[in-house]
Order: sequence, then C-alpha cells, then structure tokens
Amino acid sequence: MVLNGKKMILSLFILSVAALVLAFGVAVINITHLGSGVVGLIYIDDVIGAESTSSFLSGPRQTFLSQLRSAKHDPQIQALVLRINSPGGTSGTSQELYNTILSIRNQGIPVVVSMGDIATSGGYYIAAAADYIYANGSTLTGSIGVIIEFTSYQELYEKIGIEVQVVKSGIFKDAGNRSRTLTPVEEELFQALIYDSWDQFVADVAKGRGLERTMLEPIADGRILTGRQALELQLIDELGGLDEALKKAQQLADIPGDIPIRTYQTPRSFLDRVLASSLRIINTISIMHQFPVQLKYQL
Amino acid sequence: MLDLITTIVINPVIGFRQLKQQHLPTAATILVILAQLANTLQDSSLFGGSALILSVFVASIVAVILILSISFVLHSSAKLFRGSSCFTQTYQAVAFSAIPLIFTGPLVLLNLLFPLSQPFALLFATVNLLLMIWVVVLLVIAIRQTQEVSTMKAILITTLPLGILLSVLFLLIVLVGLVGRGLL
Repeated sequence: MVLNGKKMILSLFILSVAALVLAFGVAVINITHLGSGVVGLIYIDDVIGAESTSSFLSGPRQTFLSQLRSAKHDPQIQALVLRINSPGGTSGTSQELYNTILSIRNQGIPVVVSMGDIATSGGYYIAAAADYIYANGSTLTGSIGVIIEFTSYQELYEKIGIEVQVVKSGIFKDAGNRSRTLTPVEEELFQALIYDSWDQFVADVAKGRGLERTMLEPIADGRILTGRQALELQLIDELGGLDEALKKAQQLADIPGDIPIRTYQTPRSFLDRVLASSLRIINTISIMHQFPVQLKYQL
Repeated sequence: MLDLITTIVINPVIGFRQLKQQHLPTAATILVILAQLANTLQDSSLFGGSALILSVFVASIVAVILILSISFVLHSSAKLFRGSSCFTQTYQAVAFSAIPLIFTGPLVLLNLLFPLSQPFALLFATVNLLLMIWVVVLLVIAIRQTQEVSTMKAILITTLPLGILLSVLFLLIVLVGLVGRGLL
C-alpha cells in the first residue's frame, strides 16, 4: 500500500516537473508567436491617481497608466478592453489616461470600455477615449465636471487663538490656505481654473465620442446619469457587461475563435497587502498635512 | 533523491530525518527554482512582452536569495532555542518544504493552455491556499526534525521571526514614510 502510494507520489512529482517545463515552453511559444491575436484586459477599479503601491519584495505594482503602456507595446494585443469601476480621480492623471487610450486607438488597436458599478467624472473621462462603451442599465456614469474643495478653519483658529503668519512672494501663493477663507479675487482665480479644466474635459469627451460640443454642454454640469440615461444621451454606445465588451473587442479586431485574454492586473500577495495598508496609513496622515489644492474629476 | 522527495510527501517526519543525514544543497536549490517557476508561471499575464525568460530567470535568483535569507533567519531563531543543525541543513529543510508548490505544475500548464476557463482561477486559489498550509506544516516538521526540538519550539522558531519581521517592516515603512514626508 505504502509502495503504491510512493509510486503514485513519485509519478505525480515527475508529472508536475514535466508539466512545469512544458508550461514554460508553452509560455515562451505564446510570447514569441506574434501571429495570434490577444485581447488585453485592464481593470481600472480604483480612484484614479498617479500613485502606486510598491514594495521592495514584490516590486512596483503597475499603475493604470503603466498597464496601458504595457498593453500598447505588447505586440500580441489586437484589441483592448477596459473594465472601469471608478468614481474618478485627479484631473492630470485622468487626462493622461485619456490621451494614452487615444494613442492606442490611433495605433489601430480598438479599445472597448465596460463600465461596472460606477464610471463617473474622471472614470467617464477616460472611457470617452474608447471606440465603444458598454454600461449596465444601472451603472452610475456621467458627472462631467471639475471640483476643488477648501476647508477654512478661520473661525476655529480665531476661537482658540491661533494666528498663521504667511510670508509670500505673490498674492496668490497661499490661495486656499486653511487658516482663512478665500478672498473674492482668489475665488475668481479658482473659478477660472475650474472652467478651464472643465472646458478641456468637455472638449475631450466631445472629441472622443464624436459629439457636438453644444449637445454636450447642457449635460456637462456634474449630473450623474444611469447607464440607460447615458445611452439616450449618446454618452455610451450600448447596454451590456464585460462579456459583451470582450466580444465586441474580438469583433472589432477580427480575432476568430475563442477570445484569448491577457489581463494586466498584478495579483496582490499577503505581504503586499500588509505593505499597502501601511502605505495607506502614511498617505492618510500626509493628506491631513497637505495643502489641499488638487483638481479633481471625481464624484 | 526522488525517494527522499516521496518520503517527505508521504511521511515528512521520516523524510526530514533522512534529509538531515544528507548533503543536498544543489538539489534543494533546484527545488526552490522549480517551486518559483510554478509560482511565476501561474500568472502569464505578467509577461506582457518578451520578458518571460528574463522574468523567470530573475524570479529564480530572487527566490533562492529569499530562501537563503529565510533559512538564515530561521537558523538564527533556532539557535536561540538551542537547535542542533548547521546552516546547510536548515537551508535544505526550508527548500524541501516547498515541494508541495511544485505539484501545481499540471494546473499551471492547463491554465496556460486554457486561459479563458474561469473555474481555474477559483481552483488555483483553493489549491494554492491548501498548498501554502501544507508548506507551513512541512516547514514546522522540517525545523523540528532538523533542529531536534519539540513541536512547540519548532512552531515558535518558524512563526516568531515572521511575526517580528512583519511588525518591524510595518513600523519601519510607516516611520520611513513619515520621516520622508517631513511629518516627523
């Protein structure tokens, strides 16, 4: 009995080693076989921002931008599907993602978006760069607009007797300082800033979706829409989920047979999660100390 | 060598006792590389370009260094509990504990051949979790047999450094982050 068990384990071990060697060979062939097309799949499932978690043990986790770049330079990728589940994020990164997706499209790689629960503001911004957008009927989308927030502790500071003294090189250098409320001139400055950013947002959405700006402007007031409402307003192309998006990408890229998918999301190990949680603590503490001026395309 | 591997799988107590009597650092290193290969190939999507061979090569070197480091830590920890083995024996024990990871080979191959099959992801996660538990159990037995200590001491030798390492690492990252950002 023990002998049989030993023989079985031995066979399984040899089989496993052989399978590993074979798997390595298959992987090498997969990589080098440029003729076969692959649909890239990227999950944009967090607040959009430039930061990425990393650790010296696991190496850097790819940001959405670097995942897009990897897909862009992958010779096997013939179509790309973006699964968006994001309330938006910072304006600069949203714009950079939008432009990267456009450059992928210009390279001849069709890009299809599948919206999950939410793809608002910056999340919609990047979706607008795609060739085709799917959303579920109840997906929350739209929210085309820009926001910047300030918290004034002026009254509180006065009550507890704190006076912040600022030495500055120009009148706007401490605009948004939490120790006082905004002056009318500063409000004007920020309003102009917001409008300029909003103008770029609307222009990019109009360009990406091939819509008239005049048609877009009335609904670009920050309103949230369901997937069904967005379809009526031509902000998306069709109601559907990830499966439909993958099929559409396959169809646009003219890939026959089963859909070969390559995801670019790196899995998180236990250690990574521990390290990421510590980084999150640092970020939370540092955000509390930061000067709170950050343009956001966020819900 | 193959006989030793099957003994470790079927009867780890006897297997690791036999391992202590042998000098097999090269075989141990090969096992580490194979286990790492299984781990690396589980996520073929990481090799978006032509970096597969380089990734596997680098991952193998990192894995060997990591196992050497873990062995060093466990060896030092074992010395505190009056363990009785040389470093090579500890290294062999740690490396041979990774044998279960190699058994994912057929699944890795299937996943590469049929990447679309969704049940594989769940199967992989379950199998990996079970194998990791198996590896930890093997590691404790390996330490117990190699260092000739009680089971409780073997558990302490294995878990204590990990607990300390994770706590120190966590605190260090928080501190370095805060200092780096001028908050402390």
